[in-house]
Amino acid sequence: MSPEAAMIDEPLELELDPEVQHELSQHRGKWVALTRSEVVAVGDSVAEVLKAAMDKGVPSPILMRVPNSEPSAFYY
Amino acid sequence: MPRIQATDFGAGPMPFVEIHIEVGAFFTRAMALVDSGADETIIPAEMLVPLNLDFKDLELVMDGAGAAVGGMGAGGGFEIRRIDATLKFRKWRFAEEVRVAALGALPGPLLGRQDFFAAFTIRFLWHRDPPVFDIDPVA
Repeated sequence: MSPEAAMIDEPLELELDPEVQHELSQHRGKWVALTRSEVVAVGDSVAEVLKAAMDKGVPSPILMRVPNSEPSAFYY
Repeated sequence: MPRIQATDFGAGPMPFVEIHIEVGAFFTRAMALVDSGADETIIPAEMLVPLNLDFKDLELVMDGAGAAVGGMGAGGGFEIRRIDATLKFRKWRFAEEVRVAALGALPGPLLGRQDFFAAFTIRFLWHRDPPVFDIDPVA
């Protein structure tokens, strides 16, 4: 059995639920606060989404700016 | 061995993972791009808010000749500073300091070669549908 074939049944993990990924696709370029299963806040700054998340009882959300372009734009 | 499906926000599948950044008593969680094109892990200054830090107060990164080191991105050059911070992917620590890019210079954290790729063996399986990637701790 090839190494590739041996790995084919490795359990697959998702960093974010598909529904969250789909919702985030509508907020490209925005900052968001989220959990793995829910978008908590959307805004134009980290401070804005962090405050909104804390107001909703999520004091330590995952933060990110939703990618707005192809991956090559990330290189530096 | 985590095998992770690429995340797709409508701009194509990308290798994103959640990381933890800890500075003293403060910490934050962020989605970061696994980026073999980045020399080192770097976060945008915007991510300093939950860490209770201000970019202008951070230490400049200097080269051997005493000149400030900068970064280069799609939008041109930008200033880089540094902080002592513990970075974790799940239960694994992979860095004890991190570079910080000036406001507006980066769209999000990048996980680079000299720390993240030195701590993990990363295998991209982009021929799969959907694409997946493996992240195995080296030690």
